[in-house]
Amino acid sequence: MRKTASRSWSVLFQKYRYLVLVSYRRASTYRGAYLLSLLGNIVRMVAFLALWSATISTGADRNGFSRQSLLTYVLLAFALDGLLSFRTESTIANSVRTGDVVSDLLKPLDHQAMHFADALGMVLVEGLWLMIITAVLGFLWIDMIYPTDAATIAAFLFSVCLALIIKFDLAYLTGVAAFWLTDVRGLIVTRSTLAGILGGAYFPLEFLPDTVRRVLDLLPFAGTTAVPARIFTGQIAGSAIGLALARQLLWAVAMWLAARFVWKKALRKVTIHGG
Amino acid sequence: MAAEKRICQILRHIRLYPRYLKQAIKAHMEYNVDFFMGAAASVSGHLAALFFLAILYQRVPAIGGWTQWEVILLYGISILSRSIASTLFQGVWSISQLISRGELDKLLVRPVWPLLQVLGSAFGVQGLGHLVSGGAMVILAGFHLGSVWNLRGIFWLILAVLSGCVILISILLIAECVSFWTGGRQTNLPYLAYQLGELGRYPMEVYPWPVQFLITWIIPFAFGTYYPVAAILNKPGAYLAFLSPAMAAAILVLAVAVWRAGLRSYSGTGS
Amino acid sequence: MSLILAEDLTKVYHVRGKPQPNQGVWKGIRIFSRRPKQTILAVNHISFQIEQGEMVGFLGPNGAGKSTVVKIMSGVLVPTSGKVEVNGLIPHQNRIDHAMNIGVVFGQRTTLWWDLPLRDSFELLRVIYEIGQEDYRKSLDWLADMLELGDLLDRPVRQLSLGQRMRAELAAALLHRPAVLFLDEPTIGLDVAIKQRIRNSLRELNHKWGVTLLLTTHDIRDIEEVCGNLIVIDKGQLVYDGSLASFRDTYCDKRVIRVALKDEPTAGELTQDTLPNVIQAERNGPWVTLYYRQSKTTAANIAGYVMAHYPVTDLAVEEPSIENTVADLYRGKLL
Repeated sequence: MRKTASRSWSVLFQKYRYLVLVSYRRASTYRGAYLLSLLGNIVRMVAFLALWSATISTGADRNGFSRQSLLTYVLLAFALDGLLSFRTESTIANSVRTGDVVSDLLKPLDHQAMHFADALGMVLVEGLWLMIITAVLGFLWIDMIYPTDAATIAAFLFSVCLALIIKFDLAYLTGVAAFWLTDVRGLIVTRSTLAGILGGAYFPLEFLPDTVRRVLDLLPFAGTTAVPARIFTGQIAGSAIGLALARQLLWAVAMWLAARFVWKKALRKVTIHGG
Repeated sequence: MAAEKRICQILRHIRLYPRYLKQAIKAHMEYNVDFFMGAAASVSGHLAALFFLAILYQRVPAIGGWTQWEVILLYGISILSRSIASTLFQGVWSISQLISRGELDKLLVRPVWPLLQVLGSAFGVQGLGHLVSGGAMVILAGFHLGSVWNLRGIFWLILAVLSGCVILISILLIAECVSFWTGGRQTNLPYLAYQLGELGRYPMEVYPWPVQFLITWIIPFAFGTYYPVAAILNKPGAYLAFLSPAMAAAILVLAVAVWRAGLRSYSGTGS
Repeated sequence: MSLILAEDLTKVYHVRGKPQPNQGVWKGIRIFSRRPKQTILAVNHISFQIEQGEMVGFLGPNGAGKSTVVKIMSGVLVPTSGKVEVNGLIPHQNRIDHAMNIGVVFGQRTTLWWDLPLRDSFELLRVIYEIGQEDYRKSLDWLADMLELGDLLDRPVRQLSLGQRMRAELAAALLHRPAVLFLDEPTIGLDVAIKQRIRNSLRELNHKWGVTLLLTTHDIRDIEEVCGNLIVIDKGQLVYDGSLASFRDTYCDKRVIRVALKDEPTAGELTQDTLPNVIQAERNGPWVTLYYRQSKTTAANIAGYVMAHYPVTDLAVEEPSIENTVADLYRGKLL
């Protein structure tokens, strides 16, 4: 009598939704520690905003942004960048290093989906606080602007979901690199810095020469920060939103599949010690 | 007599310290390319920051009254002090973990100051990246600015790097020691403190005054890098630079006192 | 058809050679020194079959490859060549389906969630393994009872002692009533009472649920008390595959019979006497331990002879422990 894992979508959905819940609960218990690290990120955000604020207050060229929208963009991009912390990559990399990845492999769970559920649970907790702090900083310090019509808000939220998927897959790929490299910590930092720049997390991509910007818009990184931030600040509107979302969706699917492919390759390389 | 003994002890510890570091480096070297990955990571972070500054300075000649090369000088010096902290004293990050796992005991039984054992127990590869980046920035900035490569400039430079390092390590030490009193639960306080230190990389003029106050008088990072550099460049407020060594010494004394108090409470409860 | 099938199973590892020690700081940075690639043949063309309901012990010295074989069978490692089938599925190809049918207990790793209460871990497993509510309740009740987990259910896993955790791991591995249970050093570091309880539980499981068992261990008593079959692996190769009983008969030649005599002087006499086919005699008070070869004679013969010539008050025939035999095996003697 052999059991097989269910193929029905509703069962699978329930299964992974439960995982998200568990992850959410666990993340909630670590709230205190998270808040402190959030404060640390806020410090960096303060530095950024201060520099930007000081720059544009001298009447400098803003590439078509208004003062408010520029500062809003920077604030929002930074917040979106911090939405998914290093935890996914570090957890996977550590599990490979210590051999705990074996426990993951013994369960009838799709490895990628399982970690995504885990990440979602954390995002639910961390995202809430991030939103609150961003709103506080935004309204009190820089007088931020925000979309008021339902269509834009919906598009923004959808874009954020897609951005999360792309970010997750980038992190997943970096974590899986632990199968080939012994210490991925350096790689994690480099990747997140690089992805941040290319994705417009530290400054709007519009500030770069036009040809460069057009190339970057085609890459997945833009989908992690620039696209949702642009929708929010109204940089792109109307039909342009549709195009941007379509590109983001394409990348979300492509990255998800690419991550699965690399994982399959990684499994063949599993070397676990012990007689 | 007692003073001589004291000096002997100190000299002995100074001799022993490099041994600890060497062990830490060896432990790190099992990892091949990854050894340099850590250094590369920090370099890439600095390149990103420079890139970011370039974007900003495309539009304005000065931010907060500081030109681009002046900011690069400040940034470079702050990274240089960080490089010393990472290469020589990286062990400070492991304190809260040692406390929560109760592993301090094995340090207390050795005839060497536990603080030294802890500080020398790890080697931060990214410190090499900081060294290269910071060094390059300072040298290049020095050529572009007139007032750096003279006796006075070099004096303040060395003072900045040293006191910056001392202040950073002291503040991290205090943050890590909090674990002595939280029942061994690890907090992210050191991380927060480290991030606050990053504020010292940019000119204070850009920050709103509460932030300026915070990093000058409460958590005195500004005395580590900002004020000495302001002295080199003759910025307003440069006179406070003379307080830098005093501030560094004061926070160091405070940090060691906190460490000692923490150790006492640790061995007292016999966890 | 066999439940578990391994055919010509092979696993090869490629590793960088060991670095030379004491090389000083510069040489130590690997880029500047060369490390030759080494090929390790961890599993060397192993074949065996395990039927449903069998309880098999896996023996072998450290580094022999038995853990590797178990990991291949559980779907964690991909074999370099050869075929492996568990319950009709190829483990590494149908990893998720295969995982639904197996339970694994690691002595040194946990499969539970560290910071969750035990009950929550179990509940999570219920969802992951798609166990029906009714089945789950029955299984949990039975397992909690057999392994005495009652008051542990509300404690977070990290607060459990090693013995408590092992019992919990065993329950966790069985919640979904797997067809096969893999155990890797489950009794390591546990005290005698708990070892006993776990061994009893395993026997009961096999009896009540028909679970097929694969037990890797260094504790010979685990095998002697639980397993009916034995597979011995050394240096990646299969050295023995058969029942525990025939292993004894074939390899444990030296046997023991103990006789108690009327008094100590008589015992002393017996010890000095040369008895047919007796290799060695040792006296301990009124008891005399006689060593003989199973291949040359039987316990009955020896007993008969002694009782005919001496006043015997008590008699004990001992099942030979395979411990010494296995130790010899590891040292390369035998076979």
